[in-house]
Parts: sequence; structure tokens; C-alpha cells
Amino acid sequence: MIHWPASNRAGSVVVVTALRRWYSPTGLHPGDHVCWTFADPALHGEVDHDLVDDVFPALVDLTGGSPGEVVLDLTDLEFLDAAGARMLARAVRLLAQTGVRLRLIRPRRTVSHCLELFDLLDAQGAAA
Amino acid sequence: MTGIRPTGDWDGSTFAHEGFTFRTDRELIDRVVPFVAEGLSRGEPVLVVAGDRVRTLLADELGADVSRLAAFTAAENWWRGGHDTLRAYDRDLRVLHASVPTWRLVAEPVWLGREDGRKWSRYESVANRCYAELPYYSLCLHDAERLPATVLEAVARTHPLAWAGDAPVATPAYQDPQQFIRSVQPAWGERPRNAAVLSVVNPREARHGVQAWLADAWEARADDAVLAIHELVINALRVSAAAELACWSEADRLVVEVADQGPGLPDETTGYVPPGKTQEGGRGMWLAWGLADDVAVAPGGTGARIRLYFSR
Repeated sequence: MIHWPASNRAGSVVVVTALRRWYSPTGLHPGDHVCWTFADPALHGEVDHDLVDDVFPALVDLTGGSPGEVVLDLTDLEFLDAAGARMLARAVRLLAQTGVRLRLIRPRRTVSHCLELFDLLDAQGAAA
Repeated sequence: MTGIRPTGDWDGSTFAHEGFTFRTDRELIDRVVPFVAEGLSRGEPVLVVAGDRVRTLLADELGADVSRLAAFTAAENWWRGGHDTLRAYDRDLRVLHASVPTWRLVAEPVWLGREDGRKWSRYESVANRCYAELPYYSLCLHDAERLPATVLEAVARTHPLAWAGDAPVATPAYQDPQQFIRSVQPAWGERPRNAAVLSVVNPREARHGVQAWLADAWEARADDAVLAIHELVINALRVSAAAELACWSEADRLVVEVADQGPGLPDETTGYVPPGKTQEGGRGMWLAWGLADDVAVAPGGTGARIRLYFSR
């Protein structure tokens, strides 16, 4: 399930900024059977001021399907600015209203700086 | 101690900020104990965050009243750099403000004795502006036996109140925060001739240009510098069609300048003020100032010109 921004002003940049959800052949089932599972949705590339209006609806569409916790992996998010972090904070708030707890994991150090501006980090410094 | 008015005419509705310098145990006790006693007698939460010497003395003097303090904690572990320390302080203030009508604080910023902690005087100065509406009295303690003369001189310029022996009085040396910060920021000289210069019209172009400049010699600081510059470029392009970037090394520091042709900065202290929790925008300067090791804003001239300094 991949949701692309309806319009993207940055042209080819869409490839590195799109949200993705993929199948992992290495996911382990509790019964130790190898199976195909949904991996976590992820943000990657550079999400900045110019892209937040496109990424926000895609993120909300992708993660807002069912109540409960959704983990957003930031491992490959190379750059996030204050506007990008503001967009994530807005998404967290909006999703919370529908019962979805969006949890951000594994941010890089400079990405953490931006998340902290919006209290998106927990007490251990990991993304909350 | 008859006739002492520990908070003078303060009515508990606005911010009062006193810098108190002491040398002897007696001086400290004579100032702080009546201040604490008055707060307790009025039913105000009294918080003490101080170094070991001060806490030991106060514990002896206050006796059982220590248990009536809303906080009695060590200051030694508070310092985590200027921005992060102020941010933690700001969070605690907001929590207090949401729960009690007024409070008083005895605070000893012991980190002013450290080389990297001296920049705290800028935050003390800006506190007068950003906390003006908060209803608390902050009695800031400074141990003259430990602190260098330059720090003590800055105390007088950043605290509007001083102790006159029987009541707080206005400090003659006190300066407006903008004036104080201008006086302590790095001097604004001409750019060196070998500075790399780039004109940019979008933030992505600026980021990639700076990344290329910093790739080798400044790799360890590149991420911080790129993010900080990006935020300044975003601001610059809001008011100007293009922004000019310049970059050079100065002794053991990297200097990056962002200049625009807009109306100039409306408030040069903004980068030192923690953004409000519900505030939507305005975080870029706070972020940039916090990532850099030092910042200078050009005095006068056309547009805004900001230099960020990064140490190795």
C-alpha cells in the first residue's frame, strides 16, 4: 500500500521523500516460521519546508487506517527541518484523535534536534 | 534583621529578577533565609536549586523548614548547554505556571564558573524579556569566591534588581537584553577575502552548497551547520528573493554567514527565546542558535546578516 502525494512540486525528489511500506522476507513469526510480514512504514530522504504539504496527507492516509500504535521508522530520514518536525507533530495530534498513536523511531541526531522542538522525543532521547 | 523586606514591593503578579553576589556564609544566609521564610509564610511554593555549599548552609539554617520547600535540589547537574538548559528551565516554569498563582525561586547557576557555561549570562538577560509576564521572583545567587570578575560584571548587567541590604533595588548597570547581547557576541568584522560565497534562491540548493563546502575539513560539524543554515535561509527567503551564503574558517572555528535584503531582524534576541508549546512557527532561529556554538548579528546595515560559529 503506497500512497503518493497527489501533487509534487519537487519533481524527481518524490522518489526519495515518499513514504513506503514493503514486505520483508526475513520477518519472523512468533512460531519461528518464516513468513512475509508488513514492515513499519518509513520516512526517508529529505523532508523539508518545501515538501511538508505533500508528505502530510500521505502520512496521515498511510498510517491512519486502524486504531492502535503505528511505528514510523526514521532510520533513513537524512534531513528534517523545523517545518518537517512541525508537520510530524501535526500528524501525531491528528492521528491521536482517531485512536492512532504514531510512534517515531530511530531518528538521526540532527533529526532528533528537530523532533525535540515539538516534544516528539521521550525521556530517553528516543523518538516518542 | 528588623525592617527587612525580602522582595520589596513585589506583589507576586509579575517577574522579578535579582542578582545577588555573596562572599561569606553570613551574607548568603542573611539574604536567602528571610526570602525563603517570607515565601513559606505567604504559602507560596519556594524552590531552591543551588550548589553544594549553598544547600549545605541553607539546610543547617532552615532546619525542619527544608521539608516545606517545593524543591531543594542540586544545580550541578542542570547544565547541558545554554539552549537545552533554558529549555528544561522553561518547561518547569510552564508546569508551575499552570498549577500555582505565584512562586519564588532561589537559583544558583553554578555553571557560570565553567568556561562553556559563561554564555548563560545571555539567557539570564533574555529571561527578563521572555518571562516578564510570569508571576515569580527569581533570586539568583553568585559566589564571588568562585566566579571570575567578568561573570560578576555580567550579573549586574543582566539582573534588573540587586540587594541593598534591606530590600531589592534597581540595578544601575542593568542593560536591555538586545543591548547586552550585542555587547557580548563576537565582534562583526569584514569577511575575509578567501570566504566562499554563494547566492541561493531555495533552501535545498543552500544545503547542498554548504554540504559541499564542509565535506572534508568540517565533516564532524557538517550536519549541525547544514541544518542551522537551512533554517536561516528559510527565514531569509521569506523576506528576500535570494539569500547570500558565505563561509570561511577563523582560527579553529567555522563561520557561516547568511544575509538577505529584507527589513532586518525585528528582534535580535529571538534565537535565545524558547518557543512556546502551542506556538506554530518561529522555531527556526531557536534551532539555529542552539546548534551553533556562537552567533553574531550584524549591527545595522541593510537586511539581516547573521553569522553562526562552529567549533571543531
